[in-house]
Amino acid sequence: MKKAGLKVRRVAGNIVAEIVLIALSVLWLVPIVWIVLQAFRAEPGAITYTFFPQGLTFDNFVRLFRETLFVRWYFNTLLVAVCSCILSTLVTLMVAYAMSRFRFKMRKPFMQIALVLGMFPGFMSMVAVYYILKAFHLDGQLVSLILVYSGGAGLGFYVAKGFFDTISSSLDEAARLDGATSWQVFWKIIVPLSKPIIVYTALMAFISPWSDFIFAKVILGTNREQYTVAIGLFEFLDTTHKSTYFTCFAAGSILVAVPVVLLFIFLQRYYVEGITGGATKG
Amino acid sequence: MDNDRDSIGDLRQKIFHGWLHIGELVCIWTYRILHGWVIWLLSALIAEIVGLALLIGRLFKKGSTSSVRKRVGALRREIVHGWLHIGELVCIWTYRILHGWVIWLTSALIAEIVGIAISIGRFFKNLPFRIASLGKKIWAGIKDFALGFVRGNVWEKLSHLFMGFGNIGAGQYIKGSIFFLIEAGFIVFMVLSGGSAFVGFFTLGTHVQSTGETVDEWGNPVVTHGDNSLLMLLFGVCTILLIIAFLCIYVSSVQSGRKAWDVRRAGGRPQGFRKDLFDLFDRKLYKTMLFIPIVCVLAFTVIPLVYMILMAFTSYDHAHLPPASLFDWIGFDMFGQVFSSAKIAGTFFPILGWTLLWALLATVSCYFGGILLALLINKKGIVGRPVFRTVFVLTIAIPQFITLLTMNNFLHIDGPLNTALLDWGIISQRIDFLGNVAYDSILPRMSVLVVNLWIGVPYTMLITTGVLMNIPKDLYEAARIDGANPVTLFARITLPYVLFVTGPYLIQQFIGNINNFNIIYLLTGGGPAVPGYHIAGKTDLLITWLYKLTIEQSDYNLGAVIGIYTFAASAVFSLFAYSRTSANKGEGDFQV
Repeated sequence: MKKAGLKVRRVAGNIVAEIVLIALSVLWLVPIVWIVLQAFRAEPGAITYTFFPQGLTFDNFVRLFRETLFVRWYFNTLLVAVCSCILSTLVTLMVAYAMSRFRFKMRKPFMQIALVLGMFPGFMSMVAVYYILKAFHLDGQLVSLILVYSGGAGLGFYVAKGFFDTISSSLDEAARLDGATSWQVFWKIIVPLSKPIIVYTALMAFISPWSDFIFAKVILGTNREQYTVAIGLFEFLDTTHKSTYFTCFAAGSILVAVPVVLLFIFLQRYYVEGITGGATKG
Repeated sequence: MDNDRDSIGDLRQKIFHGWLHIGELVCIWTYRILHGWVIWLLSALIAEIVGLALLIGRLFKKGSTSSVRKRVGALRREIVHGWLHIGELVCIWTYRILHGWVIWLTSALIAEIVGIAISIGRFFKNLPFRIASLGKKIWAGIKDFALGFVRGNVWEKLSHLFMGFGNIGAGQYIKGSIFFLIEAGFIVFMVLSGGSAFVGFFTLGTHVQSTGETVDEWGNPVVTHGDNSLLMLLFGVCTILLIIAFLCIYVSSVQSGRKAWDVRRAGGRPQGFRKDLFDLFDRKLYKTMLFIPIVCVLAFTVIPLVYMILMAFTSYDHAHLPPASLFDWIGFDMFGQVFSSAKIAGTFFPILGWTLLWALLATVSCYFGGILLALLINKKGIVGRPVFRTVFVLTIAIPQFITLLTMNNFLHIDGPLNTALLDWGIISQRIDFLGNVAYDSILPRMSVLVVNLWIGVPYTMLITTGVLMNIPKDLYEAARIDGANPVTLFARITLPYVLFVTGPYLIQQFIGNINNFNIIYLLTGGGPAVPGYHIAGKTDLLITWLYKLTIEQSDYNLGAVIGIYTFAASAVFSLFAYSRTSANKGEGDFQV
């Protein structure tokens, strides 16, 4: 009798939970659905007084490709993302390996300095970075964007170092007895064992150029040819362009979001492991 | 002294536990109050429905359909107004309660500050000893260096003047030559440009660019290029860094020469260049691996930071913009102005307050919201779990600038949300979610917090899901046998466990929120602007204000000062919090 009562209670609780979840999902989806609908909206202008568009069309995408530099921006961003992904993964892994496996005089100070440097508001140095790049005539170039994105990677080694610390050093010693150098140990033993952390680092480095806005804007300045999608799309929304290009902004947003979302959804396991530093493995 | 430290540590731990208990109480009461509210709301709803049914019945008993429609409309409007009043009350009370919280927080803060003062006092008590030991070390270093010079042979003595001669004399020809070349290169650099750059660092330019009254033979004004203080400061910083690096190489070259000679005196042969190279990939691989990253960090983080920090001590503002005019060192003036100038202080302190309040509310709300959502999704027997998960993960995966710009348009006064609410008759006039200045701009601030919830809750949900799975089930079983109810289970098991694992993440979130540029800039642009603020709006954080001051206003020195203060705030907090969590870790309550 008591058991049956419990069961009823649990079923009732679950129904309430389902309803709440469905309601929340709707709340979370409404803005996304809205922007997707805007991408296919036939009526022009930034503001319409209906939630659902009155007519559907692919024109916005066509205009995006024909009238704007969007395709160019897209490939710029892809280039920056791929390069900075490779470079910053390499840099992060190397620093993490050095910190995890070697003991040298400047090790402790370096780790503390890295921690403190990480607390400075990132773009306090942005203006200075801009002038440094300008002094070398690199401002407004995609190369400088790649350099800036991967240059900071040397400070973000904590997660990877934590992961390397969990790889038993007896593996290293065994390899070294067989005559391997530290360089070989790194490539042949550590790297193959750290797939989750490599995927995490690469994923983060790949995604950030797609959404970073402020660094790119300051560094690229007015060189529209070299823009990334983030600044390019933001430009569609300034007061002079908004009424003409709002639906193109929506269309472009979808083209940017779809690959990133797919990548993220497939690799979310690594993301969680990376953030919690492997704590979820228990 | 150790005793002192122990007792203070003890005290701190006790205070910390006290805080935890207060947190627990807050949670439990929030739950109870919410519980009460739900019941109240439900009963109110039922009453409304019954009342509505009665009214509708009466309406149909009476007259024609057109008047019925009119009356229903009037009825609806009245109900909406009633609800609006309730909403307003809730807003006002939230504001008042928060106000009370501010006082409470302030008192807690004062307690913390006293604690900090005590630890600072201890630091200064120990300072003489530390300085003494540092001095001894430096003295020992100098003595060692001098003795090396006196006792060494001719080659070693020469190596103090010509770098690398010690190595060359000992037979390490290649290594020695490299040292020598470095010295030669450095001297050439200093003569050609380094020397003047070094001097320029102190003068910051002497010739002003003249757009002169003088004209050339064709009548065009003659522009003579003056000094560019900005570049001089930058090159000065770089040169000083180079000099420091050179000094380090110099000391290590002398030491390396002496080491080589020590080997020879012992009857051995110093290591060859080939072996040195091999070592760089084996025993000293860390040097190879760290070289490029350190150069990058120096170039893109350290030099810019030093550069910006130095700007805080100059007069570089909109009135002194190179290359048209020069700026100069002014010392600590700007640091004082933030407090003394009514215009700037009147903006700085409210923005600082809002930044801290925002960071606290945004972090805590997303954190608890995320945990609750994770609990809900992982409830036993929920159907369609993967679908829900994907829906929420979607908001994380979409690049933030897209979601924020979308939200900006979604909440716009002419946007779809207002349109929909109007169409359904829930509101009678459009609400300016992002620009209403009533009640200290509480509406835009709430909107920012809500949008932040929309973005942030799925993050915490994703992260805590795995943590929740790992809580040993027998803990719950045991507690349930002892008669614990769900609230106790949550407060005593789930929350402490999750806090323990995700503590560092929470601190990161807090720091990230203090510096959360994107959400404010893309959503409200800092607005609504109010007359009392200096180039800022009610939702501006320190970081967005800094952006406006530098990029838009060119008041670089003031921006740099704000940046330094922001850094100080977040550094103090996070160092403190990190030491707390690591102290917490030592207890190992949950090391299963």
